[in-house]
Amino acid sequence: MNKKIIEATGLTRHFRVLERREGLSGAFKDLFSRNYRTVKAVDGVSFSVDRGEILGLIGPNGAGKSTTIKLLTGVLKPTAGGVTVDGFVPFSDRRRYVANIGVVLGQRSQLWWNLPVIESFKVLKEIYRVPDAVYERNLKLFNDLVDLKRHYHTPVRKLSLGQKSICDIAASFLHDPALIFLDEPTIGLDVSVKKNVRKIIRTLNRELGTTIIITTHDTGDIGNLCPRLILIDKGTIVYDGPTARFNKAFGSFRTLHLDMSDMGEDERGALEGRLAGCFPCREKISVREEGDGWVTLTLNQDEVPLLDVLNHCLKTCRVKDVKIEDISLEEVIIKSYEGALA
Amino acid sequence: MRRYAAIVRNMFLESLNFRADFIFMVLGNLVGVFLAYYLWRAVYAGSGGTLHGLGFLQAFAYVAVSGCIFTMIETWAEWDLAMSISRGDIVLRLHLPLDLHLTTLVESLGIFLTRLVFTGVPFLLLIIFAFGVPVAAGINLIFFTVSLFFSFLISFNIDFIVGVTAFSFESVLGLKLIKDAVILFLSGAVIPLAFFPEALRPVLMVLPFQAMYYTPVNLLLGEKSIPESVLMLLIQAGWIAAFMTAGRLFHRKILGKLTVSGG
Repeated sequence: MNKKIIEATGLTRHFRVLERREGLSGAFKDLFSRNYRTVKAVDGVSFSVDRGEILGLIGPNGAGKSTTIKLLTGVLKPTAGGVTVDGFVPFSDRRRYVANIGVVLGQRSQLWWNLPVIESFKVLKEIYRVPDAVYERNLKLFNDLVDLKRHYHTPVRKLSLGQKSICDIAASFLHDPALIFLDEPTIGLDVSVKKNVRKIIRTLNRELGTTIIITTHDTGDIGNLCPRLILIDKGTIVYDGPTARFNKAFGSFRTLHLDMSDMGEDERGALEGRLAGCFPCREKISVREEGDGWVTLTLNQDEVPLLDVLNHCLKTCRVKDVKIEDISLEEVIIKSYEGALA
Repeated sequence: MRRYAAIVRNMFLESLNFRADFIFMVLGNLVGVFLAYYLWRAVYAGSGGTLHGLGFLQAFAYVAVSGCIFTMIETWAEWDLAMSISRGDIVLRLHLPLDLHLTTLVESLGIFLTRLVFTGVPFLLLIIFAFGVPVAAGINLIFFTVSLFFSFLISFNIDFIVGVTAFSFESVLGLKLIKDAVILFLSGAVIPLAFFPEALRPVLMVLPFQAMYYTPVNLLLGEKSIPESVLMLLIQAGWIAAFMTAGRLFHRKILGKLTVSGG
């Protein structure tokens, strides 16, 4: 068996988007001549995935993650380039190919909306021709993990978002797929359900050897699950490598939000220079005005202690409120372009 | 086959969920039957028995049975399809190892069967026994049943094509309503074909629409001889083949052109 389960080379998908002109006269012009703009949703992406791997696909909204998934699941036809998954060409072999994969879309449920959960499982069992023994074993695996049984007879529309997500994941792996795609599986879920979802994914991967591809913009998913990640922005791969290296590059970065609305604009403007003076470091502390009186500082804890900077700010400025967060994906991408991962 | 049967079963179960829906559909049909009854009685009031060769009960039967057929074969497949394309839910169907055209067909079939059992048959019985429409209990019932299923297949494939084209017009409902109105009128479901002008009738008879309503009603009322009935079924089968082929072509076209962005 081939060790690589996915091999994509130069995978590209462009969309033609209608550009509407403004106003009434524009609408009339649109009736006769139309302007199309080409959106390069996925632009020459090449990567490969090993059997049994858990791969994280991250990127900001609109980066091309979902389009990449749709190219991989055979829903969309690539504009150029090619991909083979488990020996199939997803788009042209769709019907035979999708029998081997499972797909979970965090935003849409594949379950029958008005029917009890178990009815959806039963119809999927028929559709994928799952042998009784496999079906029972997989349901048992899930029952041991999250006690799925208590939802069997509840109509899907009466489940909470978290319960639905878990049922959707269960539904996607009843037929023992070689590969499961999870598109934003934890979107909108609370912390305890997220933990459950991660536990399930890890167990599936370990016990059944299922290859798993997750797209997310929750960096928590990545850190907890995926040894390797691919960062996508504007349809191209920005980073493809071990999560550890990624975390080493960005794990010590923090963003510090300060409410300085009591201060004058020029006072706030002087902050960057002053910080650079007090805390000399290789990469200077970036200061960004948010426009509503809040100021965002991004700093690297390996070089300068966060608490010192915070203390300095509290002493020298009138700060009304403080928030501390991990570095945002947007900042990560900016820094990646600047060579932080090189 | 069992895989598609499982979908039909779930669709049937799902349709059963809407009790209120059913009650209103039954009420709506009831109102429709009474309206047709009194409307056509008024039309026949000053006629002295027959109009265009049809007696009152015959004319009423045409319209009432056609109405009944409409509620059975109109499964909103075009609406569901167009909505699932424009909202992107179509990807869920594409993730199944099934044929999209067939899947849509069996989903529609599930709705058709629910309607058949819960509104179609009771209303046919009502029309026959309460309003005294003469229907013989013979081979015509078998012909009718086959013909009804054929009507459903023609209707579904027209819906499929409309659904695939409609989503790009961004006015699915408008297109659907126009389609329904045109089909109902040209098929003789609203006004029996006998009432149409002499010159127009041959044209209507070569259009596919009469095969959807005129044929099953005729077969139910048993007004044709057996060879004639078989011929009518064969013509229906011909239309199924034509629309099925067209449906397949549209199916191929849509898969290549699909653009689902976001989420």
